[in-house]
Amino acid sequence: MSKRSSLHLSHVPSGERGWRDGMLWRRRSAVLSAMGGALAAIGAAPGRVWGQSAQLARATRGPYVQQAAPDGITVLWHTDTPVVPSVEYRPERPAGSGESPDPWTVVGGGGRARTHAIRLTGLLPGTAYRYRVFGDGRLLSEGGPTRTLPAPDVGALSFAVYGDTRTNHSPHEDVVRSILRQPHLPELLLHAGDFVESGQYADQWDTFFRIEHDLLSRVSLFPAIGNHEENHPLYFQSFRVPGNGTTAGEGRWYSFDAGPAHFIALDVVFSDFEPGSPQYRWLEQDLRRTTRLWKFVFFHYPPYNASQPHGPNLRVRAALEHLFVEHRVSIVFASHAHVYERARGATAGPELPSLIHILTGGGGAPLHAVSRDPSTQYAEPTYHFVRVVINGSRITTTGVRPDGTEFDRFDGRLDDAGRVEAVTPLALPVVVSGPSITAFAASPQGAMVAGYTAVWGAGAPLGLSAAAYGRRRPVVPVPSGAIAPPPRKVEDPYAGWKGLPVVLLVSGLAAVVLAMILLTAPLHWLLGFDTYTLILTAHAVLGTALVVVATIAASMGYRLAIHHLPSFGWLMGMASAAAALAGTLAILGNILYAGYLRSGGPMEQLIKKAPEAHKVLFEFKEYVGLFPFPLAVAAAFIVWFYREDLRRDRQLAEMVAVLLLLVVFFSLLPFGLGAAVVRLRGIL
Amino acid sequence: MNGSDPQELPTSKTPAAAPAVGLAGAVNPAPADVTQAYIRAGAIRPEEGIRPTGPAAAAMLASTLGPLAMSVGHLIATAYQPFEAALLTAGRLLVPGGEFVGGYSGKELIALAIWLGGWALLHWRLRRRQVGLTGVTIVALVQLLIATLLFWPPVTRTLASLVR
Repeated sequence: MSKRSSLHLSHVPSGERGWRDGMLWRRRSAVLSAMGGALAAIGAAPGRVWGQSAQLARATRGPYVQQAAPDGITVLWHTDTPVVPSVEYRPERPAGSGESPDPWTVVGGGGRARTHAIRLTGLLPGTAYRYRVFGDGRLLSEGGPTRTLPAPDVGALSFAVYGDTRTNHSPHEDVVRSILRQPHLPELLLHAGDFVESGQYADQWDTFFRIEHDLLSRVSLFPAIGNHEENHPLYFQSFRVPGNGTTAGEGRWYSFDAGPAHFIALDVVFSDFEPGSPQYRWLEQDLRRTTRLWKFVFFHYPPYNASQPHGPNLRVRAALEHLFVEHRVSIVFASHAHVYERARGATAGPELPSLIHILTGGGGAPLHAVSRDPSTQYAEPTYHFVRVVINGSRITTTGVRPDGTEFDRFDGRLDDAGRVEAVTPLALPVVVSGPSITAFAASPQGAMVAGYTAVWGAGAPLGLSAAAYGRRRPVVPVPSGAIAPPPRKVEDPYAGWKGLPVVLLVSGLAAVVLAMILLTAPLHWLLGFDTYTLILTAHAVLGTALVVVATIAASMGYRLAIHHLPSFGWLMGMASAAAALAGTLAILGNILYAGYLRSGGPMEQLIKKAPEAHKVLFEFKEYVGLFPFPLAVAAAFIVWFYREDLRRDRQLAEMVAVLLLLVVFFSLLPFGLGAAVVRLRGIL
Repeated sequence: MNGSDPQELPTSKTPAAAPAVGLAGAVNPAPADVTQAYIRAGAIRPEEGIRPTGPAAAAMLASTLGPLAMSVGHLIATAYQPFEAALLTAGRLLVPGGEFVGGYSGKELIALAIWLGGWALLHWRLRRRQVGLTGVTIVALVQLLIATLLFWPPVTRTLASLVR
């Protein structure tokens, strides 16, 4: 709404002569106010009167450039209200050149909308352009200068690679600033996936583009989809990528040329990539077709990764690396692990250079710990981006930290066969470890964890104990036969039962037979043994046992509460067994969760086929599955500590019964969720 | 008597040291008489057991305090990423195999520390206290309910987005 114009004359002279003057003033002010009101009304008139929206639009995202090519570039931006978009652009003249600027060229496109993408064509290769975006003819924002990609005959190129910018905005901003501070801006950007924490939330995408605004308004970013994008339409709406000539993988896998290099982006998260799949066939053809000597492939899951918790994705390695080696790919970029790692991959033969893999997942996500395996050349848990510079047959890759310091500079050149070999002999592998325990304890991170633990571990108990202080009373020093009222003598209905030895004999024989079967049967044919499957089987068996034992303990707790428990020994035994089983299950659960998280593991399949199942079943199950352990330990402790007091104090007995019931509930909950997970195997 | 130790009552170490309050002529009272003497002296009530209920209350409260603290930590880590990063590092450094499960290990670590540390502190504070267990049970159930809800992903995401 435009401002109302107001003309207000406050001076009204008083006195008789002033009365006459006052009348004149009032008449004038009335006329002027009426004129102002009319102007205000016209200014606020519906758009069809003036051809403008009543509510002026503003750019809420961008503008940013996409799909750069030697002869064109796409400008994208969002507005808060629907507008008719247009773009003006002109070549950027170097400062101090004395040349007068070119006139603006106007390009319109599309109808009234909030999301806009206008392709600028007919541009010159390797040329900088300024641009301005309009909505309904009104200037919204300026961008650039942005540069088109170099022509094919240009032998030099520089670009930047990074990934996993999700979650932590502050380090993400630092990484972006470090790219902008480079003496020469990269000519293009590659992002290997995991742009945002959860791709279904528009506000997270807005935050991503806000952080990257200064960079993406000038440099075209080429994306590869990551698991955190969740295969959501918002990812595909945010980026414009070259077509790949197929309908199957539109926006997922594609390739383009820039100067002397050919770039290929793949979707190894949500699309099949095994031999025979549409993506694999497309990749084979694309690698065969290109004539560029420099070939770079980028995607999300790393074939080589010594860090945890993900580790290397062996499926990607097995399916694709031989293609890369066969077609002399220069470097493979990936992310997913939040570290930097350079590794030596497969080779076409002895004495031939290995395929170089660079893992760059330090764009902002919480850093992981690095480790080392035989392929590792350099590993460091640091926020960073990778700068790549090609000059003729030479290439240099360098890791750059947010403070501008550089690490792991690698110089390579193309050999006669078009493979990248190291210019200097490869140094011994370098693994930069993260902080030690003492360094962590002295850091702000350590203070955060210590402070949180102190508040809950000391503050909460002090508060609870103050609220539940009760009255002080002594421990009665001698055990008394009866504290009034005396406990009810409970008849043991099974006392003197002569069938017990028979039951024990049969149970013992059954156990011996079962053990013989388990030790001698070819179970590996039935279960397909590996360590993970063994642990999985043990976890399932013990989980079932916990449910059974906890149920028996709870029934005993109920009998205790109604003063009908014949033997504390059984109650103590069952409660202790439940505690031991719950603790063992927590440990086995950790081992299984590690296997679930690793690259190529079940998590990737679940994210691909049933992402909600991953979030709800696994995240929730892993946490509530820990609850039975402390509850069962508390129950066992109380039974052991109080013994016969449990017969005397009714509240105590009831509390034990409640505890054991809670153990049953929180054993059944993850048990049921685990059964649902098994059911999912059929659809994965 | 208002909950203070009855100084005049005999103990197991000195059963014949002093006659029990209210007992006339008792020099070596039988164990049941000693207990009855405590009851008559108001030190314990007839329906109470040998030991105060404080340790039981401590065990139950601590067993649900750990999960609650873990769930609140999970919510904070979801909303405030530096805390998530801190838990990731703590779990990697202090939990065996913690680097293989990411931030989960850090949350397990704080749950364990708060459960055991809180239990020790509560036990020390309440070991001689007769605590009403009905209220304790209700508080523990509420803690557990909140902990369960905070781990439910839609609840966590919604609350985290409000806090951010």
